Amino acid sequence: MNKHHYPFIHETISMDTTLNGLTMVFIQKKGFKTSSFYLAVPYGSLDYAQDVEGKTIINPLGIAHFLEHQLFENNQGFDIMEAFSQLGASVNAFTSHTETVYTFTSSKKTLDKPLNLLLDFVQSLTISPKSVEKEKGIIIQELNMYMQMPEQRLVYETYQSLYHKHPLRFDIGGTEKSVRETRYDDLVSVYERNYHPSQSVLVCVSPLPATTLKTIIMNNQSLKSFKPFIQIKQTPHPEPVEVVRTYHRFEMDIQNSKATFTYKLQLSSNDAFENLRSEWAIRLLCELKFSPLNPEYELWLKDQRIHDYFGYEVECSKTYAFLMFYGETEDPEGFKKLIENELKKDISSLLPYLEALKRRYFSSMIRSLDEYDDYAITWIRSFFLGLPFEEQFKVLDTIDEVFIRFVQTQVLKSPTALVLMSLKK
Amino acid sequence: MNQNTKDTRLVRLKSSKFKDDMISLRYVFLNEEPTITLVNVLSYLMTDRTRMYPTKKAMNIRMDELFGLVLNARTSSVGYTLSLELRVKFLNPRYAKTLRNQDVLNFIVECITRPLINEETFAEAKVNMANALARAEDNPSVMGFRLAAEAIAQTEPIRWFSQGSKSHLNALSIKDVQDFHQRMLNQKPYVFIGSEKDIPLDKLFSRLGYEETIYPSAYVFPLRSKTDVKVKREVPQTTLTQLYASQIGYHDPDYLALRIMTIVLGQLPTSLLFTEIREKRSLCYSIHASTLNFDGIVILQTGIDSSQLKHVEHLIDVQITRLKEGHFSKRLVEMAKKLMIANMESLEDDRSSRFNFIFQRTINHQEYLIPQILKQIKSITKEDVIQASKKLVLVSQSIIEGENR
Repeated sequence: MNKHHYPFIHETISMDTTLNGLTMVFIQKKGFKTSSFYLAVPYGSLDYAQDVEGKTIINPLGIAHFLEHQLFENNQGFDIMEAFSQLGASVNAFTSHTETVYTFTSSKKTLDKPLNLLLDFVQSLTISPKSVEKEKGIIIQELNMYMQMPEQRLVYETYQSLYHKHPLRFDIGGTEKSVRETRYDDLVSVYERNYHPSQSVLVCVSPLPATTLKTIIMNNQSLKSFKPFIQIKQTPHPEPVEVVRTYHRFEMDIQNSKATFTYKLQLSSNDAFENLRSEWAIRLLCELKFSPLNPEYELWLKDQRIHDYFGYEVECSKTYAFLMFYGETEDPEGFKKLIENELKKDISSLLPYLEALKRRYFSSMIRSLDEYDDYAITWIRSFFLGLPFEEQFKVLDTIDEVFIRFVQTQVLKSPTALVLMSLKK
Repeated sequence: MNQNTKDTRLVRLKSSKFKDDMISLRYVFLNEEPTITLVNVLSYLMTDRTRMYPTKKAMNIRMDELFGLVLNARTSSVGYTLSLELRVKFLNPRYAKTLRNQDVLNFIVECITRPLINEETFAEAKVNMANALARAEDNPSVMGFRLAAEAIAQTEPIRWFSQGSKSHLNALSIKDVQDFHQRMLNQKPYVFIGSEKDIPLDKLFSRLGYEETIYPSAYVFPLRSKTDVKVKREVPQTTLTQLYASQIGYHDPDYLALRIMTIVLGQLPTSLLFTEIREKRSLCYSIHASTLNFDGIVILQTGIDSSQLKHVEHLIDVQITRLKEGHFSKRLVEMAKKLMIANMESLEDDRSSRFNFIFQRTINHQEYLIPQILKQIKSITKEDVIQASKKLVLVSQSIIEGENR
């Protein structure tokens, strides 16, 4: 077992691999009562189209999310959720753009039964055409629930404005049509191609020692056999530099109008560390310019050009990158101008606050290690990206004034999309 | 963890397992308007700017100097008591060796005693609070509950929204806030400290008030004739909210049986509502039951297609009848008990929730020894659950009707 001690965060993490290739990560939380386990598969909503042995296979949108729902089904009369409840454990799952994660939490000291159950239900598919049909109504109601949330709808419309072909433009759960079109056979083939132990990672956050948990996992895996894994490639979605719509307005039954102003960035790299570095540099740039550290910020609030509902999101990944500002406004052009003008200004007067800001974010990262979900998901994403975990903490030290000025220039060169969600007339 | 119970308004939990330390101060008020709106405005102002740090920038710089200290204020209802909590979280000395506890205490006292209340900050607080209230109206689950509660409540606290009201906000003057703040400062707050090492508090208490204000808290919502509210919204889903008078109070012997009953009804993936309405019939994604512990209310809420409304209402009714007639398994009761026990045990890993639990127990004059409560939960039987369910009476229902798809 490989044991890594990270003195700067006072954490020790052990790692090992089972014979079938499942990566195990053990984060021991001494003194805590609760244990959480996260079994993650690198298959998310963006992977609906894949290249397998030279052939492109296109599945219905939202199939990763549909499969997540279906994993909880069992056609042999065994209720997985009930089994976890009987063991005093709470089970859950989520699908993101790039992965699907199955998790359970328990405060028990003996965890062999729920841990075996997690491995067993994720590593075997026991669905039926009937269970697939039954799930469609539930998923459609889930999509409806998200579509009536103003923030979710605004983000969805923003992605639609940014991307011509990239699958980020679709909801993680797909559409009502794609859900209705999803077939039993689609789900089985996606499962068989992607849910392989050699591609998965199991993160264990627990007060129990790694050796105890490792024995349970190794015993479980030694009893199972899997077909060899066939290499899969994500189908590329060549995306033009330009946005789809530079301005888009839509109506919703809401109380206050909201807007996003987004830069479609060309900062995607195959190097995961470079993406992380760009993302943090843009975050630091925005925090210097669009937070109370900038004396202008207080004036914008005073003049009601922005309100407390104002912020930004930045993401830089291998296949897409964007910087999205959001706020409540009746004047989208004014909102856009405020952001553009501020980003164009020289940053020199704000740079004296850079080191303090880095310290703030570093503190926040340390704090997040007490939050099991944050800790495990950061680990899972780093692992799938091939990024050593400690790089998440070291990245801030690599960002200096020169690099911040560089990303500022890159942002300003990028095409933009303005989206207004206004009140229903 | 150690608990110091000599002073009923001071709780210290010592632990070395967390990355940060935490100080939380709570003030209490009567949960009614216009107090609720006043407290919400004040909570905004206390975390915004102070006389020593008179700009947002100065506040931010100070918090960065304190190693990214996090400052939050929040209001919450505990029956007839309204609580205003001001909380700071700051890095443990293992990670921030030069951070002095006294500097953190000085900062929190500054925020509480000397918030910058002038025309400019007051106007900004009002605008932002009005926007937050408008945003809450866009949330169907919040609105569903508000509509049902406002329709049935008369003088009871559930009549009021814990984030305040637009009309009271409009009527508020700066002097109202200043006077209210001065009165608040006379009060001795409840203080909660979560840290690895002792934090000396002598200087803190000498700068805070001394009046040990007490208000009533838990009550039992009275039985009334059922009210129905229906509004239309152009949204893709219909939100159905039902309020039941439980006729069981926080201090009653069958209170924990009520909590278990609510889990059996709608908090587990094997609960009656989830199984019958979602899993067997695919009528919804989310359906759940919860309790307002200090008001004697059980809430049921779901999001469905409008065409299925009558069907779902009927199915909910059938599940309530099943509870009352005992047509559910003992196994379900045991699972519900396990969930509640797990939730109680996990309080040890979450200081904010644990402080909240201790505060709620304290103002209701109850012990907060978790092992005793766990023992009581374990002793609950299926019969206790049936008896608790027999007291349920549907008193209010709201429907936010979406577009039929």
